Amino acid sequence: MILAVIGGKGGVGTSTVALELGLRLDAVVVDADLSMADLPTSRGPDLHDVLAGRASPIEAVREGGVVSILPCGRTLAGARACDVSRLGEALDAVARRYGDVVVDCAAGMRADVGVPLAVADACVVVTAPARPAFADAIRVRELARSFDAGLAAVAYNRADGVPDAVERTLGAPGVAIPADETVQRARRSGYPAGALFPDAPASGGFEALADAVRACGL
Amino acid sequence: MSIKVDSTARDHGGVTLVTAVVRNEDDVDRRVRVTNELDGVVRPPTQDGVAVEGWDADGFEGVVPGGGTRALGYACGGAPADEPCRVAWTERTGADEKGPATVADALRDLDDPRPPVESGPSKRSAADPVPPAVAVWLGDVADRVDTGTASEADRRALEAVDERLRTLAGGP
Repeated sequence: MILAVIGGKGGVGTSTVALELGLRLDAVVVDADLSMADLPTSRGPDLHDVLAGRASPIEAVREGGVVSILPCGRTLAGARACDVSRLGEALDAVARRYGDVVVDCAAGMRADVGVPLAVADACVVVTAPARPAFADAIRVRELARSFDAGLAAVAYNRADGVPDAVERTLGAPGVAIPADETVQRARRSGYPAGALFPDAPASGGFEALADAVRACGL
Repeated sequence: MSIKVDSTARDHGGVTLVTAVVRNEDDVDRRVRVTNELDGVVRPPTQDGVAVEGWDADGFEGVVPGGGTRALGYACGGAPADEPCRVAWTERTGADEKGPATVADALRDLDDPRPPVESGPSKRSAADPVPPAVAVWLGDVADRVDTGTASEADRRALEAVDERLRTLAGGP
């Protein structure tokens, strides 16, 4: 199963949600933000190398951590050398080998968001209680609809509840994830909060979000 | 048949350019398949490196509106002939037959996510990276193509270079 995590707007917590879902769904998290990657990386081949034809997708997956990650390179030159048309096949290859894949998609509505949506079985939209964030969530939800990537759940980040209008407009159950500084502390050390602070308030939100995805039978 | 195609082919420096007008004399929209009859694969029009919707290595498939026309054009390696393409089949179209968007749609319709070239440290390699002898040879070939005097040897040499580049780039 391939699950695309999309937000439309940057800074709403897409990468954090992808990492937390990867932990709970026992999935490989692919950092598909080609020019502004932010999931932890280490020495070795990354998505830039995969999309430039220098490495296979499988050898670029970092196993052994609390979450398996296919990281993305950080250089602009590496991002320029990417052939985005290889991204769909790369995600399929990781899914064939590992089973479940969570794709941390870039902000905006460019091809590095469209290609994951085209191969994804479902998506999760991440948004936050701010009008611009919600407007972008609606746009990217429409993009997902055109690629037939069903919306499994809405992650309403840094909030204590989900307004009815959000669920009604986006057309999927919403899960509120409370603001929680342990999430930031965990991310600074490269971990999902669920691995370091399982009892933190946000961890309960992420668990409920994973349950909502599982409830779709994916 | 209610679908007619007028096509012409002409040689342009070793490459054959085919133009065709598909005419639908029916009152209703029809889906048509136009296939290439020349010896060689179709090099279709591309957008962002992906074939324009409806094109593949054998030809084109798409809808021609009732009483309307559709203009097609492609390049091909084979020598020109009188009827470079033909209508393979036609059928009536459904009201809403387009399925969900695909990876090719994403690449074609959405913006390229790569950062602009100016963002990279490219100033260091400002010198022309093409060896002078190669640049001179390519310039000569380009001149011959422009004046329509390119030879079969030019065409074969360019194909060999193309194949070598694809091998170096790790492509098929």
